[in-house]
Amino acid sequence: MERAWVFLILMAIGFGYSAASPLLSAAETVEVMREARRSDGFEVRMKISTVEPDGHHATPLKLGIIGQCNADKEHLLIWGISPDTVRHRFFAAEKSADGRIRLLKYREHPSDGITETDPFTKVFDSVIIWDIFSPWWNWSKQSLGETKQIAGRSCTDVQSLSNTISSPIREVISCVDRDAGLSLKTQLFGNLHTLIRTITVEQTVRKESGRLAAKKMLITGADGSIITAEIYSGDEHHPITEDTFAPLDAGK
Amino acid sequence: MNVLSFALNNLYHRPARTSLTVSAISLGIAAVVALTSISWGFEASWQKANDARGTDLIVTRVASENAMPSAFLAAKYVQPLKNQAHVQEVVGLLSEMLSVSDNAPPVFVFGWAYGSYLWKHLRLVKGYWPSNDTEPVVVIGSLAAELLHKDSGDKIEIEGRQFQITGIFESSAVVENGALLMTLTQAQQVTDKLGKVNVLNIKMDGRASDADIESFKAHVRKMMPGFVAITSGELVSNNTIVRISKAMSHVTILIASLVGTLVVFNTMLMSITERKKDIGVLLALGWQQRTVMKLIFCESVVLTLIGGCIGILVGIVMTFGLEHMDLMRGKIDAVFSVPFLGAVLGLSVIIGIGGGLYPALKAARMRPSHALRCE
Amino acid sequence: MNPQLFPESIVRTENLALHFDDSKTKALDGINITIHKGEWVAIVGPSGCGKSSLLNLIGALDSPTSGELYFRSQSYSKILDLSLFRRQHIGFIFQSFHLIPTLSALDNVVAPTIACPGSPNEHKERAKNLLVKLGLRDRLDHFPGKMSGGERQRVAIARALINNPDMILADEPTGSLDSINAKQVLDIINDIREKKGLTVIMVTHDPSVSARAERIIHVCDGKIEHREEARI
Repeated sequence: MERAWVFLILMAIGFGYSAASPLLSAAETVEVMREARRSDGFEVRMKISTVEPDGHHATPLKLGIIGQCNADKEHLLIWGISPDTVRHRFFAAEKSADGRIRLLKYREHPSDGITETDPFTKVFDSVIIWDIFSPWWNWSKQSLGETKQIAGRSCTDVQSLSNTISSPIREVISCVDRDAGLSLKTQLFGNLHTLIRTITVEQTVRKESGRLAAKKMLITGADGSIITAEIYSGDEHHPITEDTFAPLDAGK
Repeated sequence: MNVLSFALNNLYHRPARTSLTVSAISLGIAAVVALTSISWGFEASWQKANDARGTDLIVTRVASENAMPSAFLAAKYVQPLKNQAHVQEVVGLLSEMLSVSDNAPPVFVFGWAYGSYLWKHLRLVKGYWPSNDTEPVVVIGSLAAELLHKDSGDKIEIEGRQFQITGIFESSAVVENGALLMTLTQAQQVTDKLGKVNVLNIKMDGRASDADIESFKAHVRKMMPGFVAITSGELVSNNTIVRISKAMSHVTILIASLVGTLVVFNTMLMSITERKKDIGVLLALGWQQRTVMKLIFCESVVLTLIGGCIGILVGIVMTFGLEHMDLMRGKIDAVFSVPFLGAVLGLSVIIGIGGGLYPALKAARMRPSHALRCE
Repeated sequence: MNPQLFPESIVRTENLALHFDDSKTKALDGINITIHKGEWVAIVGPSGCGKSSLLNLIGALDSPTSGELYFRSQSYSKILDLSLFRRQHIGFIFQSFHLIPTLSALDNVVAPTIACPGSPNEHKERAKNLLVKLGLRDRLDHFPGKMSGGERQRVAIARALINNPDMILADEPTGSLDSINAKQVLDIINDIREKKGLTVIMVTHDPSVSARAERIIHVCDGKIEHREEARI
């Protein structure tokens, strides 16, 4: 009788332990994030406000982004909406299967000239294309860290390490809300674990799938700059035609 | 003299306490009036807009936390819906909240199908309507014109494109008065949502009964998963912001009632403690317990009624003030109905009775011999 | 006592007792008295002897611990509504007047009639007449704070009479007054008693005041010490 009680107690402990342990592994969490990014075509329009390191407030911008992200291709098109200084300026980018990102810039008509540019530089002095592609989810070295609370939401740290020695970003730590399929806080590090920038989700919006997407983000640079990006309009089913990303083919 | 005049006399001779209590009650009632009228008004304004247009139902995606339901391609749904019994017209509408100038808060931009019935209820006060579907022109509501400091003939930038303001209109619905209006095609182009709408307006013929409308709703649920056919008021009432606003007004009602009751309770308890000897004398002279209770209730209810009346006035003024703030203009249309204001006064009476109950019982049960011995 | 002068008993007590603190303090113990209609009785005794307690019991302001009280032939314990009883049969006059400070003289006199049957205007008219009879014609709208002690006690007397009581219970009615005003008040009480045939039961520690009464009951340590019969 005593042995039966001990057995039952041990079962209960074991059950409790397994209930308390993480449901997903690092690989599974990474797959959740890759899945959350997939889209046959989306469009968002966002308002960008920048506070420069010296405290100066730059003129707010409005940008539009069209994107497509599936298993074999990822494309982005970014254009300026307002003010006049950014209008008629476009950036097109793609990420290949091997993780390389190509960024092209051009004016209203691609025939005016297409220039390839560094994907790690800011477009419109604000967002970085490399960040939007989130290539760290394809890196081979992924590990789980601690679980924490950010703004009342539970999330788990996922550390992603790059194999590319020359990459300006060598390590990314994302605090992932697995149920939402969203990284609530993403820290990007360079060499020797130097913090380069932090992307924090301030507000979310629910997608048709039930997952959450970032509605308002804060990008804090190591230089002290703060960029606020707030989405004011969006379409989860934006039709992608052959011409949408044509400049990328023209640039090849 | 009667119990009421005696009660009024007692309140009059304690001006500081009376005015403090009345102030506390009126502030609570003002908050209730303002928040409730705004939350009801927001729903009512959208309903009014639809009623003004002549729309019976709207078909839209089930809205979650987004301010507006997400846009969808209209083409594949219009004809099947038109084929339903009693459906006279199916007209698409696209609406977005956009900032149209640097310093102004965002405004609603509506895109209505050119030549549709949606335009008929508006009154043009200046200029002219869009004459075709291809020109980048916009008409602006009178409130929006005031807010954006624009007039007919001015240019306005919307999402990086220049539009000509061809006219200024007025609508009975505040939400339309504070908006910009263009043809659906133009709205789709400027937001890059070609062929898309976020609402399909359904106009039924005059012979549609309630059962026909329910049947239409059921058809939409069955044949268009993820979509719903509802009234505009129902759409807005499901919106998170509206639900939060309503929840806030309910919580405010609860808190204001509790605080009001406690304030009255405290005031009346202090009052009867101070007047213990007076109450003892009245009981000794032949006042019955129920007369003492009537006196205390009279005082507490008069306090809360006066506080309620002042609170209603203050609440109405506060709401008008909010309505005319730049940030809120064109977005709220507070509803003040006689039954609502009557209910608020009723709430004041209940607060008075609730707060006065224990003090009234305590006063009535005083032993005259003990009360008379008090200094 | 001359039964021809005082034929009817109005208040009678039988072994009346009033104890406090679980019988540790006996305010009254075994009181047996009979008061007749129209009598002026003074209850006298040293401070704390129980005279005010006796008055409170007669006035139905308190309930006895044991014993019985009768008003005419009705036991107090059988009276369902003591407030109504007080209103119909008893008028009180207090040492400290106990006027309501926020009411005028006229309103103080009217106060006991609130929520009573009868027209408010009739009550007001009667109150006015009482105050005029008591020499307060020019004080109707004055508040107690603006009146002398004598005037206040006259208002209290008018208030005690407003409901046409059978008895006046007065607890030290001249205790807060100077000798001139005290005499005036006692003269008024006597005058009203004779005209209306009221019974007056008065508590006092002042021998000069008790001397005005027709009968004096001495109370000591909660018991009747002795009685002085009416002086004719």
